[in-house]
Amino acid sequence: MTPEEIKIQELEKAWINPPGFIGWLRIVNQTNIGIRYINTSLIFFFMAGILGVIMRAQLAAPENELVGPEMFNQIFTVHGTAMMFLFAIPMVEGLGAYLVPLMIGTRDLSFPRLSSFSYFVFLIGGVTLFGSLLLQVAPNAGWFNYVPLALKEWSVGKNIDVYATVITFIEISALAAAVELIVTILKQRAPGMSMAKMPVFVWSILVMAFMIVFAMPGVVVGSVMLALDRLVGTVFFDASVGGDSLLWQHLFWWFGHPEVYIAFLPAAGVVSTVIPVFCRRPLYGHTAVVLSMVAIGIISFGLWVHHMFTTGIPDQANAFFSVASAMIAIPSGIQIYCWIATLWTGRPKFTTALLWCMGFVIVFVVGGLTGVMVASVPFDKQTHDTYFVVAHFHYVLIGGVVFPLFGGVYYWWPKFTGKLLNETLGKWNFWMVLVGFNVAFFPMHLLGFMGMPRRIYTYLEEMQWGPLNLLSSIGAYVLTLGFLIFIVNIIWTHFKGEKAGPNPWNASTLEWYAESPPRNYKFLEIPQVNSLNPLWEKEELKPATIGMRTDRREILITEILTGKLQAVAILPTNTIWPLVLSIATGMAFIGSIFSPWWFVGSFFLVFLAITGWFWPSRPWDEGRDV
Amino acid sequence: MKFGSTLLLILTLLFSSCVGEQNFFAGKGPQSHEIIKLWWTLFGIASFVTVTVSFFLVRGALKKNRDDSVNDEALGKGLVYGLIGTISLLLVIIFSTLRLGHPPEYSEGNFELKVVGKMWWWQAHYYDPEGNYLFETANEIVIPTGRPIRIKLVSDTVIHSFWVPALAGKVDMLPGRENFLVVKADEEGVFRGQCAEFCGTQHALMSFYVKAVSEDQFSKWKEKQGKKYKRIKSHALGERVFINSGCVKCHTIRGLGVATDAKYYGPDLTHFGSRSHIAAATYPNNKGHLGGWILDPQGAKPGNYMPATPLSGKELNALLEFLEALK
Repeated sequence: MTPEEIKIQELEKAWINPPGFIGWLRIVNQTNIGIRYINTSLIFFFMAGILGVIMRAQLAAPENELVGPEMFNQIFTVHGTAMMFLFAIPMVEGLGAYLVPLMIGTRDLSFPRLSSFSYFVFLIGGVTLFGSLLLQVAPNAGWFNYVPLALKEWSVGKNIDVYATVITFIEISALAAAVELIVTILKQRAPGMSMAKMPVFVWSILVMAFMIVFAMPGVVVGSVMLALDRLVGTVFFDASVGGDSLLWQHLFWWFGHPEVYIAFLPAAGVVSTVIPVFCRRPLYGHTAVVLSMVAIGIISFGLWVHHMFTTGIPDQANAFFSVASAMIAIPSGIQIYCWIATLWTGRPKFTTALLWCMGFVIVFVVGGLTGVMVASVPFDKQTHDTYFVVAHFHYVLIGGVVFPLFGGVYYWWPKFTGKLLNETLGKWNFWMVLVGFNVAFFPMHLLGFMGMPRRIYTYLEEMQWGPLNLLSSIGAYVLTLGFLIFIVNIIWTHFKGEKAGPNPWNASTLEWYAESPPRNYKFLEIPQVNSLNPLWEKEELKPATIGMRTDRREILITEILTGKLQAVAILPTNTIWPLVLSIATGMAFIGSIFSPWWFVGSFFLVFLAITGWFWPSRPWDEGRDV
Repeated sequence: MKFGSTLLLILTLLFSSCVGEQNFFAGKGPQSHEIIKLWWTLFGIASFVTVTVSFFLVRGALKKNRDDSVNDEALGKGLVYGLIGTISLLLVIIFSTLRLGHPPEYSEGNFELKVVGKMWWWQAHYYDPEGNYLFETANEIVIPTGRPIRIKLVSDTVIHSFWVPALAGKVDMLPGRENFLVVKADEEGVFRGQCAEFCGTQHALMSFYVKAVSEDQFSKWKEKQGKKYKRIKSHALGERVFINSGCVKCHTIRGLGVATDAKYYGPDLTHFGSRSHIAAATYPNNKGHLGGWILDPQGAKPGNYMPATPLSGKELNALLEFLEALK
C-alpha cells in the first residue's frame, strides 16, 4: 500500500459511521445530520403543503362543508407552524450543517454531538405536532397563537399545550444549531480563508445563526410564560387581573419578524452562490452583498411592530417601525442589483438551479413591493389580516425562500448523492410551480381588496369572493403537481440518474473539492485557501499543513479574522447520549402537556443523560470509538 | 412577454375586482378615500419597479451580445443610480403615508358609541353627548352622516378587530385596553364589517352592519331603541316560550322583567325585529332563517355558544311572531 492509501484507510476508520440501526442512532457526522435535517424538513414541507391543499379545497366555494371550523383552525395553524418551524428554519439549518464545513474546508461541525441532539429534538417536535393533528388535538389558535385566545379560559383542550411544547423543541434545536454554526464558521475555516475570502453562502449562514441567537430568546420567554399561565396558573397575559394581552405579541414578533429573514438570508445566500456558477463569473459586488445581508440581519430586529399597527400603538411609534420596514428595501435592492449585474455580464447557462433563482428574483420583487405597501401604516390598516397579506407573505416565503432552496437542492443534489437530478423533469418542476404559484396566490391580493379576512373557514356567497377563490384553488393544485414532479425526479434520479463527478458544475467553492458524496472525513488534506473562488484559481490547491494525525478525528482551528492556523482540535466520535438526552427532553416537554410533574420527573433523566454525555473519559483522544 | 401579460392580468383583475360589499375601493368616508389615493401611489411605484427589475433580469439573461463592454466601473455607477432611485421612491412612499390616511378632525370629548367584541358577535352601547348611557344593541350599528363619530373599542373576551372597509382601516379590540376609532360617513348607506383578528371557532362569520343615516333619522332611531318592551296580548305564548325555553338565560329584552345570567351573555333582543340580519350579520332576518337558527344554531355556525332549542311547531311559530314584533 502506498502511504496515501494507508492514510485513507486510517481516516476511514477514524471517521467511521457505525453500522446497523443502533449505529445509525449514534452517528454524529455532519453530512449525515445535515441530510437528516434536509430530508425531514422536506417531508414536513410536503405534509404541511397537503394541509394547504385541504384549505384551498375548503375555500374553493362559499359555504363549503368539507371541513368544519374546528378542524380548519387546526389545519391552518399546523400549516403555518410547520412551514415556519419545521420547514423553513430546519431546512436552512440543515443546508448550513451540511454545506458550511465543506465550504470552509473542515471535517465536521465543532460540536458533533450537539448537532445530533438538535436533530433528534427537532424530529420529536415535528412528529408531536403532526401526531397531534391525527389525534385532532393540534394547536388551533394560529401559528402566532395570540393570547388571551390561547389561554386556558378560551382554549380548554390540550391543543395549545401542544403548541407550547412543539415550539420549545424548535427553540432548543435551533439555538443549538445556531451556536454550533457560529463556532464552526468563526474558528474552523481552512487556513488562509480570512473573513474576506469566506463564501457568500457561509456569510448568510453566519448572519442567520446570530439572528437565531438574538431572536429566539423572545419566543423562549413568551412560550415559557404561556406554558406557566396554562399549567400552573400564572397570569402574565391575563388582563382581567393585571396581566397584558399585548405582551405576547411583542415577544412573539420580536422573534417572528426576524424569523422570516432567518429563512430568507440563507436562501439569498443560495442565489448568490448559484447565479455566479452558472454565469461563469465571480459574483458581482461580493462585499456589497455581504454587507446587505448583515444590514438586513440588523434592521430586521427593528420591524416587529409592523405586525401590530392596528393594536392601538401610538402613531409616533408606528411611524418609526413603518420607516424601518421600508428601509429593508435598500439592502434587498442592492442584492437584486448585484444578481442582475452578474447575469448581465456573465455567460448564463440555464440549468434548473439557475431558473429557480431567476424565478425567485421576480416573485420576490413582487412580494417585497407589497411588503413596502403594508409597511405604510394607513394602507396596512386596511389590508392587515386580509388575504392581501396572505398573498404578500406567500410571495416572499415561497418566492423568496422555497424557490431558492429548491434551486439549491438541484444545485447540491449531486454533492449529496453523487447523481445529477434530471434537468427535463427539473424544468417541468420549475415552470409548473411558477405558474401554479402565481395562479394560486395572485388572486389573493384582490381578495384582500375585496375585504376577505385571513383565517376564515368559510364565507358567504353574497360576498362575491367565490370565483377568485376557485381560481386560487385551481392554482394550488397546479402548484402541488409541480412539487410532485420533484418527487418523481428524485425517484427517477435514484435509479437512472447520471453520475456526477466531484465538481459537475465547475463551481468555485470548496465543497466541490470533496468527493460526491463526500467521504466522512471530507478532505484528505485540509487545503490552504488563497482566494474567494479557490477552485477557479489556476494553481492546484495545496495542503495547509502536514502531519495531522489520521487515527483520530482531527480538525484545524484558525484565527477568526485572518484565518491563520492556530491549533488542532480533536472531535468526539459516535455516541448514543444525544439521543438519550433528546428523549429525556422530549419526555419533559411532551409530559408537561398533561402534568407539570412530568417536567420535574424528567429532570432526573436529563441529569442522567447529561452525566453520560459529559463522562470524563475521552476515548476518542486515542482514536477509539466509545 | 410574461410581464406584459402579467401586467395586463393585474390591471384587468384590479378594475373588475371592485365588487363585493366589503371592498375597500368602494370607500364612503374620508379615511378610506385617502387610503385609496395612497394605494394608487404605491401601485404606481410597485409596477414601475417590477417592470424595471424584470426587464433588466430577462434582458440580462437573454441578450446575445456577450462582449465584455460592461465593466465593473459601469456596474458600480449603475448600483449608485439604483440606490438613489430606490431611496427616492421610498421617500415618496413615506411622505405620502404621512400625508394621507389621518382620521377626520373631531373634538376631543365624549364618545357616543362603545363597541365590545364578543364571542362571536358585536355589542354596541350608545351614549348621549354628555356621556350618559342610553341603550345597548347588537351587530347593527347606526351612525349619523356628515360628522365624525368617535367609537370606543374594547373586548372582554379575546382579541377582535373592528373593520368596516368602506369607512376606515381596522382597529383591534384588546382585553384590558381601550382603543378609539374616529369614522365619518360622507353619505347614507349600509356598510358591511367583519372581525379581522382571529378569535376562535366562529371568527369567519363574525360580521356586522353599519348603517349611516341622516342626523334626523339617527335621533329618531336612538329614541326608539331606548324604549323598553311593551307587552302585546297576542304574543303572550311567544313571550312565555321565550322565558321558559331558556332564551332568557342569555338574551335580554329590556322591560320583560326577567334577569339574564351575566355569565352567558348573548345579544340584547329588545328591538330585534328592527334588525335586518341575524347571527352576526350572517342570515337575513326573516322567519325562515330565524326558525332554522333557533332549532339548530350549531348546524349553521358550528361551535358558537348558542345551544339548540327544541320546540314544537306551535311554540316555534309563537316565538317567531313574538321576536319579529320586537321592532
